[in-house]
Amino acid sequence: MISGQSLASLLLSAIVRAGLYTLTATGLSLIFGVMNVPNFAHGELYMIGAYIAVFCFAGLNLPPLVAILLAAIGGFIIGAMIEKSFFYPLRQRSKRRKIWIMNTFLVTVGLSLLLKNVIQAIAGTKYRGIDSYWQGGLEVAGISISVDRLVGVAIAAVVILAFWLFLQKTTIGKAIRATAQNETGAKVVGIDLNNIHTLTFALSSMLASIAGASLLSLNPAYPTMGLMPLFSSWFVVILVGLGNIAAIPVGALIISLIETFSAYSVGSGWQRLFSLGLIIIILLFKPRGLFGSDVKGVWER
Amino acid sequence: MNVITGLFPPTGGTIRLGDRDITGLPSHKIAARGLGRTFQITRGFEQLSVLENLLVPALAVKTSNRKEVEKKAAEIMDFLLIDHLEDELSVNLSGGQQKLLELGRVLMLDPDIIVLDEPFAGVHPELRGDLHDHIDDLYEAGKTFLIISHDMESIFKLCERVIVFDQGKKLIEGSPDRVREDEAVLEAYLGD
Repeated sequence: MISGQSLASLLLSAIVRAGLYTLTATGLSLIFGVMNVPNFAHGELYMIGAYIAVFCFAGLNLPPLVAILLAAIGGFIIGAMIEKSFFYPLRQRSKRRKIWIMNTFLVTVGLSLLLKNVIQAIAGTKYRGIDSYWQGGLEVAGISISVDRLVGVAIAAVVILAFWLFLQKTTIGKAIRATAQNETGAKVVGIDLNNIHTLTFALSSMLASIAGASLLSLNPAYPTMGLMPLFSSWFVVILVGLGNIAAIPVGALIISLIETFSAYSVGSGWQRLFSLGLIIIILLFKPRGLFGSDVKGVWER
Repeated sequence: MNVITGLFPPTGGTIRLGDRDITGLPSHKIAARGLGRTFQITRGFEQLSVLENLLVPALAVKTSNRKEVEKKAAEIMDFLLIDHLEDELSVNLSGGQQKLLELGRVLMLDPDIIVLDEPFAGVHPELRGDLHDHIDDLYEAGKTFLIISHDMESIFKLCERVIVFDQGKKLIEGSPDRVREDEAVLEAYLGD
């Protein structure tokens, strides 16, 4: 029987994890929704964010928020460079959508390997972590919560809210959503898809980098650290429906609760068995995911 | 139409818009240069509201600011008689309302030439009358229309110059009266 204190502690861990998955899965879903790119290099942007933050915070002694901000900017720039260097030229030559999805899948797998090896060549294979960004913690009803965890959750919440407002309220945000809903319709009303694609990839990469940077004290930087967040983010995206960004926080909470409680109950080696099992069952009955896909293109183009 | 509006690459020839060569330009640049189009099956943004649908083309008009764009969108909704649907998601509109909204998106670009692909297909007769009136008003305001339609009644009512195609070949070109009485046209449309 699980004690109340352990339950609360597990719930807190699940919420922190959900914040991380929301940040990474939102970017993944956006890239797939707008560009139809199944991005398997997304975890590497998370990893790059962690490395930039550890370099800025531990190496240059910059304040934590500055380190996280620089990781966000770094993720944005690297994401834009990746889009312009790999996907833009590929898009000029790909005319058939099915070939485009397969080609971009292979490109992202290659990119993932490339980025991991480049980082390994630069920084080696050692874990590069920090004890904490902020000292101390709070104690609520006998449960101790580190400030790092609290700030990590707060950063995730603020960034996701800001990003949601950007998509809903700004003209560029509306253009990104319009492109996801009807690419041809967007083109003929004057939207430059090349700019929208670059911006989408850069913003998504930025979200992943923020996740890697803000949870550095919990997850130290190492070259292959992006694999597990990548898998879990795909679980979230598939669970809620491909391209359905609004439902990502709910899916992230479901997956993180399953993973946290199954890791506690039967061991961490089994946690993904349960989340994957749930996804398989849901997809059998709801092939478009729990909340359906907003991306018309994925199913009907 | 798809070649003119940059959706298909040209295999030969030249496309000129006024005195400017637009051959092979991407769609967004052609739209920004004053050539707007609609589709037989509308290409709207279903999960965006009517107002949001009208705001998206504003990105193509670099000089416009937010207030000007919103004012223009309000005027266009008013003109097209869809102002009561401002906050409605586009997916919830009828086929005819979708066509009006698509015309509205095109008008946001303030194009000189508007290409309409089967604008009357599947539209309620009452809304079709509204659409005729809007096209008439815009024509009076100086817009040029290129309309592709099987609705001969609408074509004869609206157009000054008609070109009839059959099996991809031009049958006749001339005034509505001349086309209306041409035997080849009657045969092509009414059969033997």
